[in-house]
Amino acid sequence: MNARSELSIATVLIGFSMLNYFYLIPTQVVAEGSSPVYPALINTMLLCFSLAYLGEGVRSWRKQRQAQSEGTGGGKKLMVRPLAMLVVTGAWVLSMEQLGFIISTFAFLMIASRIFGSKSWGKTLILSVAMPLIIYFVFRGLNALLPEGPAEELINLILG
Amino acid sequence: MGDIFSHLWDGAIFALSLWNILAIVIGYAIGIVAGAIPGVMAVTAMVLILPYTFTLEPLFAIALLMGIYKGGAYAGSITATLFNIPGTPEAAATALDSYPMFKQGMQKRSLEIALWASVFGGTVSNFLLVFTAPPLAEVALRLGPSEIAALILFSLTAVITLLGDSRMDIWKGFISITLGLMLATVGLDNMSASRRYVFGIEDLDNGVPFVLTIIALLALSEVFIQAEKVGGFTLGNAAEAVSKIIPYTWKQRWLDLKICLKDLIRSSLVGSLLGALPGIGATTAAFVCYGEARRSAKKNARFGDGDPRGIAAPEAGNNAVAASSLIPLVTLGIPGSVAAAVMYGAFMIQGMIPGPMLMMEHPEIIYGLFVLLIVTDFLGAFVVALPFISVVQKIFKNLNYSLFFPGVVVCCVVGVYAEEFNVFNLRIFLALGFVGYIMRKMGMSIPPFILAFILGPILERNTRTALLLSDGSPMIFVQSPITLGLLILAVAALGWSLWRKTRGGKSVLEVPEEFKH
Repeated sequence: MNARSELSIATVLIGFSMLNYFYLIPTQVVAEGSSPVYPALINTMLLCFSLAYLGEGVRSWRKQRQAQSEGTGGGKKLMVRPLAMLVVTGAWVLSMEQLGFIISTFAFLMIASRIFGSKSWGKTLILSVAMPLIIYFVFRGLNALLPEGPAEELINLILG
Repeated sequence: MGDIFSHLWDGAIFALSLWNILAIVIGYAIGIVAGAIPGVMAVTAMVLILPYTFTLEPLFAIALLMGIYKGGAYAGSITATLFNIPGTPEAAATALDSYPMFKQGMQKRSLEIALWASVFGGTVSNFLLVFTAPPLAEVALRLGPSEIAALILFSLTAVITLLGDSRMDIWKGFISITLGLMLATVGLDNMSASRRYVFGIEDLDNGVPFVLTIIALLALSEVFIQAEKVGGFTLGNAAEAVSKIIPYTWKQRWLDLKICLKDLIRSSLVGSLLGALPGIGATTAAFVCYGEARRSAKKNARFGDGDPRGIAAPEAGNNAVAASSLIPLVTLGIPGSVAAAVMYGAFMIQGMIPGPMLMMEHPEIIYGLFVLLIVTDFLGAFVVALPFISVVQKIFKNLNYSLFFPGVVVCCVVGVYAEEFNVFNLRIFLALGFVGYIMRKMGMSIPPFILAFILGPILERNTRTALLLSDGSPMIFVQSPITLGLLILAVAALGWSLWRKTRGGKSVLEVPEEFKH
């Protein structure tokens, strides 16, 4: 990480601890009738460590400026796939109740394996069909139900 | 002493059932497979299995998890030897000599030395656990709330100060701990039962579930990290063909034992001691033991070129950590490592709180666990590990990572859902997984966050109880010599660590950058 990123993170953390002091603790702790002492104590610790982190970040920024070797932010490209995974997993989790476990998991596995660079459609398809079905039947056998949708209803209809 | 043997006997009768032995075998096999896959650690496998242990018998569940942990601890050395790709970070030190030995055609010798050293280190550490835990637990029972709070603070400080390599790392580590403590305050206040940080969401009243948090921060964040490395796992030229395989004779075995014995004993003790300290971990122990073996060797040693001591020392050291890292857990109820935190979760799932009380009230369970630990090393090594080496070789060569990691996400999500059958938990899980990923990108360590999250409620309860007992006076934290001593130690450790970094000194527990969490 370059020094500028470290400074930004430290600033965000200090901002969060201020938000906690002046908004979250009064509205989410004191207003609910709980003692603010312990949350405030931890928040003070966060503030102190964030300030120390900021100080260290400033020192490292100065050093980097002297050496003129600031990073160029090349890490942005790297985050595309993790972000895509986050979006796909989020969509899967949110759609699970509407589409049911089998269909949503099938769709998730098809897309996620492509994100991970799968080139074989055949293997991807086998995994995407087999894994949700196996998990579904294991849970069914244990009398523990996963979110249901059209596919589960069809299976229930067939198996009774 | 007599009591310990009598309890061990009772524990053996209680724990040594066919089912528990089967659990060890299954667990060890899972651990070997998981530990051999780069990017997936034994702890990840433990975390994935954890939510499914709800319906299992307590000792079966513990034996299964222990088997995974121990299997994973050994497994990293298999791929380190055969492909020069350590399956686990701790096996990186082993690879320095095991791979050169493999290239000389001594595959069997290299793998066997690693196996024997693992069993040796694990066994020494197991016995250390058995004989130190009972007296420590008795001491722990006499501790009051202020002492326990100070002990937790000291443990959390030790995690950071011993491992940070720069002042920046130390501050980041403390921020990680503080964020973990903050997350632990979400839900009902454990003294007044009023709500905190729940934003009107009833699902948060019981706090953020423990199992969910561990899976999100360790497994899901790891998947996000691996998503960055798509295409990065190729064997390339690593799996070089070895034209001639040299047999490993009994005479050679005897000679190796003679050469390595001193390092085996030293590394087992060093690993056990380092493992008992909170937060050190197997990777550091392995590198420290390797460094010690190299330092104490004569000039004609062949370290880096297939010296047997270069395999035996780190393997004994990293396996010794496995059992001794349970010492703070069973004696004080404080998990000192992530694996111990998962074990803590397994106990909690079974309705038991690890710590001195459990040891006094249900010695058969704790001593049963000790017996299972001792059995795991031998059973796992000779029943599972040896036959599994070729299986691991095949799995490792044919594993399709582009299908594997999405499959891991499905296992994580199903595991989290199965804990409470609540879709809301999946949203928290996803959010925490991404937070874990961002923290790792920022260079913040995850284990201190998890330890702080687990220890947070205990720290808060004891701090507030101590303050209640003293009518709100913080002087209670300096009145007891134990509390004062621990607090001074915590501050001194932090001060020493910062001073050392200012002077530009490197950590004595030096681990290469690429093998850190």
